[in-house]
Amino acid sequence: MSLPNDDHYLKLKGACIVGTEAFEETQDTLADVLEVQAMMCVFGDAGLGKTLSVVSSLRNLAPENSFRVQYRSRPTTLDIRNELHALLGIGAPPPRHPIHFDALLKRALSETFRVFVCDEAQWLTREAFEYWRFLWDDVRTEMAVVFVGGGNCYDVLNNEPMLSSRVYAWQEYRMLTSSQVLKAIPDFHPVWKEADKDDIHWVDDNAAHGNFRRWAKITRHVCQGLERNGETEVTRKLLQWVFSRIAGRAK
Amino acid sequence: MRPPRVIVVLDRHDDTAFTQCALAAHRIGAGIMTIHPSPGRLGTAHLARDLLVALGKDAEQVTDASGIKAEEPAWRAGAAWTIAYRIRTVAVLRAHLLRQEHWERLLAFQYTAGVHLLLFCHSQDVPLEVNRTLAGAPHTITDDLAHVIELLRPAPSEPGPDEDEPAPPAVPASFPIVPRTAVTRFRADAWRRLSTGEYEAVDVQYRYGLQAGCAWLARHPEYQDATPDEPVLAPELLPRYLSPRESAQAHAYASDTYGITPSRSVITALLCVGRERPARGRYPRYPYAWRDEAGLQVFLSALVADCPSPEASCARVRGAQAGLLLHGMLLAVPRDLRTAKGPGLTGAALTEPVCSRIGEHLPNPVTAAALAITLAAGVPLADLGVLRIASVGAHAEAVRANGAFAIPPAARPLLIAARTFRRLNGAREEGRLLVGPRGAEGLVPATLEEDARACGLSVPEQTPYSENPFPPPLAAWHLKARCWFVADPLHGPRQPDPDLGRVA
Repeated sequence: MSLPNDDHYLKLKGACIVGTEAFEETQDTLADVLEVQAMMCVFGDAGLGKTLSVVSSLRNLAPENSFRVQYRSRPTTLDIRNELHALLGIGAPPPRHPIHFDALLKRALSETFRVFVCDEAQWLTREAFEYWRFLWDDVRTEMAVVFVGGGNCYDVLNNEPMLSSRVYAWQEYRMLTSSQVLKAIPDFHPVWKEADKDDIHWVDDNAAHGNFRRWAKITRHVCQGLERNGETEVTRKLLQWVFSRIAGRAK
Repeated sequence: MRPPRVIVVLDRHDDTAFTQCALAAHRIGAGIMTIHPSPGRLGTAHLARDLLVALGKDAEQVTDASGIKAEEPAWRAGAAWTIAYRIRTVAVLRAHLLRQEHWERLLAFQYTAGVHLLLFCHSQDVPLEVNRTLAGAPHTITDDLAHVIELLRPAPSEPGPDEDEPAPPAVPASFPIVPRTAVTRFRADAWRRLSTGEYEAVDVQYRYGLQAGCAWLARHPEYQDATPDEPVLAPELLPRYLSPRESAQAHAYASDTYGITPSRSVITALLCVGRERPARGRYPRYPYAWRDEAGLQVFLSALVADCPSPEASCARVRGAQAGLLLHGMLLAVPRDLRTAKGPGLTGAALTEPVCSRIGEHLPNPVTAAALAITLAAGVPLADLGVLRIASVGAHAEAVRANGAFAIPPAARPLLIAARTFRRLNGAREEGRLLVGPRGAEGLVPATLEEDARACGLSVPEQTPYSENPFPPPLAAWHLKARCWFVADPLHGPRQPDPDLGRVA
């Protein structure tokens, strides 16, 4: 499999992928995007489960042909070339000349259909977008590209006219509402399965704020606390201890 | 034909439809090419390489091939190939990201290659930087996709110099070994010795050679000048001293044996009468020699140029001998043709795939032409430097130096590109056609062998020049061929019968 199986933040043991509305929408839209070999943009604040949703959806839809591309900030064209060269497992050493390099990548990309997940897309430069467009536009290449980004990702991508006519679908991720939290969190991790709904609501209201990444962090501390104290139930006292560790403050 | 134009295409919203339309139109064979420049802030030399890649050249070779590594030769090679492939329209994508010097280069290329140039700007306006460059060049601007699609429509292709000729028959991969006998017994021996299937495979090639021989001779001015318009019929030309019964027997014998109305010369030959041909123009009597030796060499080498099997080449040559004999022409070729060297026997058949491979892997037009000429000649051409630009025919249909040989249609663009490349380098018509990276000495056999290997081919065995007692081209079989008028034609010289030679 081309996608690493460590989706959850902090590699949280026992965590499950929760079928939220956003997750299901991602799965459906990705199926369409793959069918037409298009581009897609998934954006929203950090920690809302964008990358996790995309990656786990692709694990079902195109397990052998999906690749996650991660860059350092402001990647150059050469960075992308080298990253793709490594991801595609091209045996030959990277060519020195850009034209030869591009021809090699295009040839590899025309062999079979592939999906690329470009994480942290808000850091991509115009040059980087140009490069993705250069590869995707080619009539021989068979590829879909999913841009995933937080913060100002939408503005960055929307400011690129080349993408507005090429992106097949946009999807925004928002923080979970209280009712969504109460529905999703018990399924997220076994420690919350039997937890009091008031406690879940209390944690979300004071520390997690509908953000899956914060929930993952809190859950890991809860698990450690339970293990340390030899307990099995989440109590308000334990949660207060967790809050003290993550610098949250109980009301 | 419209004069070459420069058209700036404004794709104001960077709509993928414009890009897809240009990329979909890219078809070298249809005369339309789309350049998709590599992203990044690259120099004009890289754009020249993008041009070569768009022309179908191997990207690795484009950056490494000797002779075109520098920027100027790379642009000239690009223009030469563009002209050789008869490309009429060139589209350049993402031109708004190119700098002024790139635009200047593209406009110079457009002028040299004589193409319509479509510069795609995926932006609201033409970049300010290139406005000054464009001001000096007549151009139009369009943002209408329908108009762009129209501009990228392939023009009707112009027929080549010999496109009206019938295509040679395909040669099966396992072609039988043909009899080693002369033309007079060849077909009969093939019938006796080969299985039905094998005989049919051989006979297809034999009949093609026969037809080609008739067609070539029928339209040759020397032949038309030397022969009467209609075959001379036998009855009134039979020797007068024959009795009516003997005349009838002679006529029946010729008809039954050859299936044709016999001419006077055949009748006299069959009856051993041995009459002299009446004086006609400058050719008083048989036999007399065919004068256009170069034309004969081109015909013979063209006949077998696409033959991947030497056995099939032999069958075609025997067929051509038979075809010429029907016209009263005796064609003599080396006795053991199969072990001879030259076109169709040694070297490689210059078919479309082979020439595509040469063009792809050898982006330097001179190198590609040197290999193509060596393979077409089928003999070592250690002295490739002797070839002049003027040695190549107008449409590159033949090369004439120390002997002539045909260039198959698929290989002609390779020679046209080399000639254009040399002209763009400032060479004159009497200048050398093939000058290697280090001058003429750059085209040594070792280099050719390496080039051939890069294309998955092999060149004919090379003989060191100093050890070769004869000028190399004389080794080829078709240069030893000779032809004589020996008799009146057995059938009309103007139009060959399409069913001629077919066994009922």
